Amino acid sequence: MSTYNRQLLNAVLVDRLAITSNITDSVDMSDSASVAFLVNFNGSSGNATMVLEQSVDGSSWTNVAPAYLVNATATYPTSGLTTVVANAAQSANKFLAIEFHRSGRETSVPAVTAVPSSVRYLRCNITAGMSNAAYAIALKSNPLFEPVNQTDFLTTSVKATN
Amino acid sequence: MPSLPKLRADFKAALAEAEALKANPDRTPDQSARILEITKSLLPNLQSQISTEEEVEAVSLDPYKAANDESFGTPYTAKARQSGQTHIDKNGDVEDEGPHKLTVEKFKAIADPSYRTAFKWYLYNGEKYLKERRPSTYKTLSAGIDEDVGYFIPPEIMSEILRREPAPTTLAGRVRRITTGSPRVTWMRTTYRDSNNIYTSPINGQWTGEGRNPDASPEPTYGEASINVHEYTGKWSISNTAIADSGRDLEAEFSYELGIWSQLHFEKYLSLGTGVGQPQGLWHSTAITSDAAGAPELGRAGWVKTGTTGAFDGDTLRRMKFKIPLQYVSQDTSFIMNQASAEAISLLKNSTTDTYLFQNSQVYPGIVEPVPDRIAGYPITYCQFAPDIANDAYAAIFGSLKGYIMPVRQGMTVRVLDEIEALNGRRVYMFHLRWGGRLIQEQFHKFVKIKG
Repeated sequence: MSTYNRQLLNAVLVDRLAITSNITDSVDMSDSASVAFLVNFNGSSGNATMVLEQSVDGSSWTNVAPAYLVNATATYPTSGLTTVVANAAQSANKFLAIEFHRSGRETSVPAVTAVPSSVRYLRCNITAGMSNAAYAIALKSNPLFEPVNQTDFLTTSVKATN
Repeated sequence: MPSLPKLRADFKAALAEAEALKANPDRTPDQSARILEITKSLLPNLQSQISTEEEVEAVSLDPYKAANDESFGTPYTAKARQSGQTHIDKNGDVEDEGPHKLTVEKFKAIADPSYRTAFKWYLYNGEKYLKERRPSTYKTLSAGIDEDVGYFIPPEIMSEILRREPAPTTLAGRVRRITTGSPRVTWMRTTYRDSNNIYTSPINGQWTGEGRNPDASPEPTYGEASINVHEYTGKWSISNTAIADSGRDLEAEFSYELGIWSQLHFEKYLSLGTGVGQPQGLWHSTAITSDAAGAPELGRAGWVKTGTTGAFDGDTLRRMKFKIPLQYVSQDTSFIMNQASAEAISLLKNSTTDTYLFQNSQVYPGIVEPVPDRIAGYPITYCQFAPDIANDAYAAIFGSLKGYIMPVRQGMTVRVLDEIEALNGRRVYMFHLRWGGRLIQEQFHKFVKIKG
């Protein structure tokens, strides 16, 4: 978060992700340390699952190893899983979210045998309730340079009062 | 074997001593260690004296429980923790927060000569031995504890590592190295650039004239640039036979190996690191540019393409000097490339006269004189991790590396693992090195891209 300016849109890059065949566009993590994926479900969504995937080159994808998941919305996500599950009643008109942080550590997290995701690209695989017209949002935070360049906005308007 | 009454008497006496120590709220770590020792010595006695069910019922296990409840040994946590930050504000005040900090108090403790002695004992014998046999040494060692990763190496060893510069590595001495106590370092930076890209400034405005207001701009005048510090875990495995060899100075050997390794490690990741979960290398694509014409971008240096396909050419090498803004050319400015690239350049010839281009009038015309390590007056810095000449390869850097900042965390920690390779007759030393690196001022250098 911007220390000096206290403005959300300076420090959080909002990335609009198209969804094709239930899979979002990928997010390039070379310029920030954290990302939150938000996927919107409409009223008719059925059982919904959301899986975080990773790739070195943006073309070959694997699931992100568990235990580096920080936060997920759903009533009963299994702790430490990168999969978030919600049933039809829970997902209707709600967002599912996965937040992911790079911890800065390559290895040796106590009690965890999985290797964290230290690769460049991340995306979400949503297994239900999505159409190709839908889109997801990635909120990239802890950027290396602030203010971030918001390329997915028509315009950025910041108003203030006292 | 002693009689049962004798065993019981010993047992009661030991229990009484342990309980007395336990009851003292101001007991020293040595006394706590004694409680543990008593507990362990009691266990065999306890087994030997229990022969009937009634005797099992009669023995109280409360003292054991009390001893186990003591916090003793390496603090350990399995919880994920939030990373900290360092902020350096415009007044130069530094504020940092987060885990793995080498605090002033801790630094003073590990700078004491007794800590160095304790650390040697730790290297030779491991934590368990010290805890059980030399509690006072263990207490001294505990002053340098770093939660869940091991013990800080005493400052004497640390400086030997950082001073060492083996011959084949060059980059670590040329980038800007800073020391930090935090996992993230942040700078303020000016955000406004004039439209000609000549200068940057936090001051912005407009020509107001008669009918215009000097509109208050919500645009921030300062942004931030941050570099994450990453952790590398390495291990050194040595056989117990080598440890037992009395002629070997284990501490010196470990320090020596670590020094050699760390320089090569720095060189490799300063060149090729991906920037994701590790430092961003100079030659990684995220540090070059995404612009099709090679223009520099924020945090990306940009490039100049050679005129000849698949090779360096004299024109491009001469032009490089004029591609770096004047204020960034300094005595550190050089060409950085590998030996094979320099060799190819030294063999460039005039196609008409068939003489080497690599000459200064008639001073270096042939094969008599040594080939100077200079191009257009600037020295060649050899980096063997630089890419070879190939179509579209970024085979050389021209400029200085002062725009690349390398924060190195104070303190390196090492942990002795006695058991993990015990079956193989080996002992493992695990250590953690924490540093980061990223190009944050792109004006200092440019790449030479080989035309494809």
